[in-house]
Amino acid sequence: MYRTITELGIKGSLVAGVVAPIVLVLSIFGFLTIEAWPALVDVPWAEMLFRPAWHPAVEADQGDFGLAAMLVASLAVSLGAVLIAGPVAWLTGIWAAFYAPPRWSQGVLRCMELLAGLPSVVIGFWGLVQVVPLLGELAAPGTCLLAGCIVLAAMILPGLVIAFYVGMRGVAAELQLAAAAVGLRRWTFVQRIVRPALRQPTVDALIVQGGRALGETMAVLMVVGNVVQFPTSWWDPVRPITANIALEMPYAEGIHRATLFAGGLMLLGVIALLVIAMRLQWRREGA
Amino acid sequence: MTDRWSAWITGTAACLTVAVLAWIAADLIRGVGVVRWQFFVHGPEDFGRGGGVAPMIVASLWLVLISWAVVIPLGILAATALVVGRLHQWPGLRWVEWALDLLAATPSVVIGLFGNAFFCVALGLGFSLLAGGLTLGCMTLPLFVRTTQIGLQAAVTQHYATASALGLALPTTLLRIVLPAAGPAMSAALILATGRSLAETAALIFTSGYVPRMPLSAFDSGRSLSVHVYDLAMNVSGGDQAARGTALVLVVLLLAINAASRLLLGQHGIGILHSVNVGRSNTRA
Repeated sequence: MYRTITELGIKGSLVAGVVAPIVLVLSIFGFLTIEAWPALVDVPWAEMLFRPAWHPAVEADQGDFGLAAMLVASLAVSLGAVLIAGPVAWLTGIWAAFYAPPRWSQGVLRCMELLAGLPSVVIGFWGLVQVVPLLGELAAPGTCLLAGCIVLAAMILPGLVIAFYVGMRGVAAELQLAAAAVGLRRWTFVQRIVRPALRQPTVDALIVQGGRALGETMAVLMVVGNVVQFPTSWWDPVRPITANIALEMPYAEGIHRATLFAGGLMLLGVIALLVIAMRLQWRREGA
Repeated sequence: MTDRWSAWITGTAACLTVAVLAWIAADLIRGVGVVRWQFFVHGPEDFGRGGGVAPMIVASLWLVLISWAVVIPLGILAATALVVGRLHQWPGLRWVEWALDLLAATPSVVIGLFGNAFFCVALGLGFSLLAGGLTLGCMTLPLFVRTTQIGLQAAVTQHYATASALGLALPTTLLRIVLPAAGPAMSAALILATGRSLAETAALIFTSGYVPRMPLSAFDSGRSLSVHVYDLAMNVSGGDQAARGTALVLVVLLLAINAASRLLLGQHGIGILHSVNVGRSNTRA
């Protein structure tokens, strides 16, 4: 009897443990939707999605609630970060996997772990006191889309390097010996064998880190200038949707608050689509 | 010839990568001037330009302890359930994996929105350390579960068949054999989650708030170290040097945490970091 009751208790709590993450995800979606509801009902969707004017107010008819400029800014800043960090990380991965002496490549990886461990607010601070003044000398004031891209690139760089390195070592172990035996140059080996084999994992890593960049708040907020406008060049100050939430949530009320939640819901929707796409991809691979 | 050029180009890229870290570190080190022992025991003066960060350290401690109250029980249950469930082929486990992946990918600012709506407003906690800590608990749950799961999976692979053959009941097997064997992985998971919590800023601004007073209870609003760095850098002119000092304290704390988890995880370290970064669990059979 004792044994079955304990067993029942353990099974019960295990079921609770399994259900908890699902409940958490559902309540995140639920609470965001509930809080965003006034905006979803009272603000026309076309205004939110396609208009750049952002003059929030407590009542729906007193202000402008266009999120378009901020959505575009979010996409631009994360795309820029991937464009900067991607090639650098790929080349660094090649060096660490095929060219460097083992001790040196371990050193690079150790550095990447350190960089990955830095809080985003610290990277943002570095951007604010080092990168922004540097860019400001080229084109004042320096707080701009490009500064955001650079700071985010520094943030996603370590994740990309580690992902690429692990992938390359995985492909290469025995093939590398075979390639050396038939006299392939290292570069030929990388271009003809490693690159095609890693096409999918590379895209996966870029998407995952791009998603991280899309959701990043503090680092970007500190360097992009936070002016709500469509960016026309890399030197324009912009305000991504995440920065908008962090800047205005502490005091927003009414429809204003609801619109911030609607922005968060859109962000979560995009991230959810990325996660689902990756999972489906893995299942097709049979992973 | 090609090989020499390619070595040169890739080597330059690697130097560039490491230079980013060096550049950030070089700037942080300049903050060492403000960090004296008074820095740790005094409150901020003149909006943080002078004085110390004692209230922020206390607030950060509160936040971490409260987040543990969510992460430890829920995380251990979820990780154990995932491992045992896979063994017994429970239906629907795939959805839990989906949920964890989605949770891990959810931007912290969105978790903060949920924390504000649920803990601050619906539960009526207001801007408080309790609300902030619970939010951090939700945020770090997937990281804790994934890391614990790796340790549990190894323990189950090693001992489960033996335990079954001896006729041990499931509770005994779990409580006496599998969970103790996964102890180091669990400690490492907790340390990683703690690091993530200490580093977080966005989710805290509108859940635990940014009042720089010494918090007296979990229901007080409080400002974490990370929020203090943000506030000094953005809202206090002339606060750069104090921000640098605070950031340095935070980073040194995180480095210690990093080293501790590395010791506990041993050689699995890089694999776990990779799986956490890429979101792809390497425990998948």
